[in-house]
Amino acid sequence: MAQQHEQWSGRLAIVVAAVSMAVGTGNIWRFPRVVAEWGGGAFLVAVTVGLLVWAIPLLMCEFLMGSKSRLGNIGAFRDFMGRRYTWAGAFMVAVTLGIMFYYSVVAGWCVRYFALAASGGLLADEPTQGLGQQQWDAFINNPVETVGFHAAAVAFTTFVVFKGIKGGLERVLKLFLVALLIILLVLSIRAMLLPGSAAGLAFLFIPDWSQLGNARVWLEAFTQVAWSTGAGWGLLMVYAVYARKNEEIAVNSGLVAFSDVLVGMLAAALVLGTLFAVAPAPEIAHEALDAGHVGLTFIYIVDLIATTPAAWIISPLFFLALALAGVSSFIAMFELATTNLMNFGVQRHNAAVIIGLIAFAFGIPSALSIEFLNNQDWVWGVGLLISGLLTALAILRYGVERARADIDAASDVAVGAWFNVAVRAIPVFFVLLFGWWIWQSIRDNPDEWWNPLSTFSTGTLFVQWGIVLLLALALNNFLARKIQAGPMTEGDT
Amino acid sequence: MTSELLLWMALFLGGYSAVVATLLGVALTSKRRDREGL
Repeated sequence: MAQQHEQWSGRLAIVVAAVSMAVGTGNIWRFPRVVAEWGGGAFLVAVTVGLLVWAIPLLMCEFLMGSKSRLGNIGAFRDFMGRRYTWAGAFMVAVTLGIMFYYSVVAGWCVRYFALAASGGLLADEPTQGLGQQQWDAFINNPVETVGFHAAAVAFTTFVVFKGIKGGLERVLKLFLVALLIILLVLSIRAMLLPGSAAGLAFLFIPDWSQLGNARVWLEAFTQVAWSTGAGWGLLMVYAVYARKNEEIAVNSGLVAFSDVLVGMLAAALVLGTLFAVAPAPEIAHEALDAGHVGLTFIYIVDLIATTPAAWIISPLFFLALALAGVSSFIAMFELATTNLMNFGVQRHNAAVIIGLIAFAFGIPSALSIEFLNNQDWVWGVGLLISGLLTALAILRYGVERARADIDAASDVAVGAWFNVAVRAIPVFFVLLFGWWIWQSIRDNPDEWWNPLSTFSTGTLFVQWGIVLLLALALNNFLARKIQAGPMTEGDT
Repeated sequence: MTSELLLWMALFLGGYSAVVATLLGVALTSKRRDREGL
């Protein structure tokens, strides 16, 4: 049986780790853009519904699977679904690894911009629209820098995971989350007080109720919830492996989900309030919101903040927040890979170093080519929806009523019949969300949708998922046999 | 800022903050705390 000695020091520690896992760069560079585009307050209502019917039930399922099986994703799926379905855990691990391999590069960008801002490199004496583009082009076309900062992010994370749950993750994540929250709170309050910020805040908070009749708003809200809260990624499943015996599940899962959206709101108040206050014309602010993650963060925000009063401190703090959010989410992905490797009998220290070397090597293509990074973001981002579906299917096979009884036994509040309904509804939501993304990708690439070599095609999704799925199926029995036994493994599950 | 904006800000930011604070309160005052330590 797997020896499980490591443990979070208490309930607060696992909640802090889980919130820092969920709060990532997406809260800062994605949430403000989608909320402004899809109805402000009305979108927030749709997000709240998404939390209740997708994110929180899935987070509870993950928490249960990790804490009960005491094994990483591969072992947890084996013990909850049966040995024939071990491949499902392997698929989930592969999807998160696919994200991890480029996320370290993104975390590296954030660290680099923080360093640049702190050294005064993002300041300008007069209004400029060229500084951001100029800085970005110089950076992204310099492989020494992109690979170097990717290596730095991997090296730091390897060290944290090497030090273990209490000595590494718990210490660093507590510090990072507290610092991140303080920075976001200070910057968002300042943004709200800027003259002219009301126009941006109106996009965030004033509801356009007509949007709730638009199916697209619901699809965008559910996608946002699925990506932002980390539900279905398998990360909370791994953090729960190190939970104390009978750790609380229901309230903890709710805390993670609601905190994630609250942080997203603060970040959106910061970004939208600042954009509309400092942009010379509202059209420039809209252009910035339409410019994608990279365009908004590394080009427009750099340009717009450069000449504002106190830019010398605002700019480094903004990029520090981004770096803290990025690195803390990367740590969760790295821990997922490490824990799954440890389940093969590898010691933590060795596992962390092996994963560090693999993460560095497999991240290099994304560090060298933004096209490649965009492709991976597309493939594994949509793949997360499949991971969410697999988690729900695992619980359906285990027994929803049985899972609910387990969760109730370990929770401060009874979750109620709502949990059963929500878990059974997740496959339906999956079909709607997944079908919409596929339809959209075919519509946007009418000539190239089938081409696996095209960055955002449907073909590239199915080819890459297909390869991973075939490998996982081929290795099913090997993985089921080689993963150590946990407390649920007694007998043939 | 208009009063309409202030109202919606209070509702969304205040509402979410209240939910998070309540859940945190439940966690901090849980009987589990006595049994296993928070």
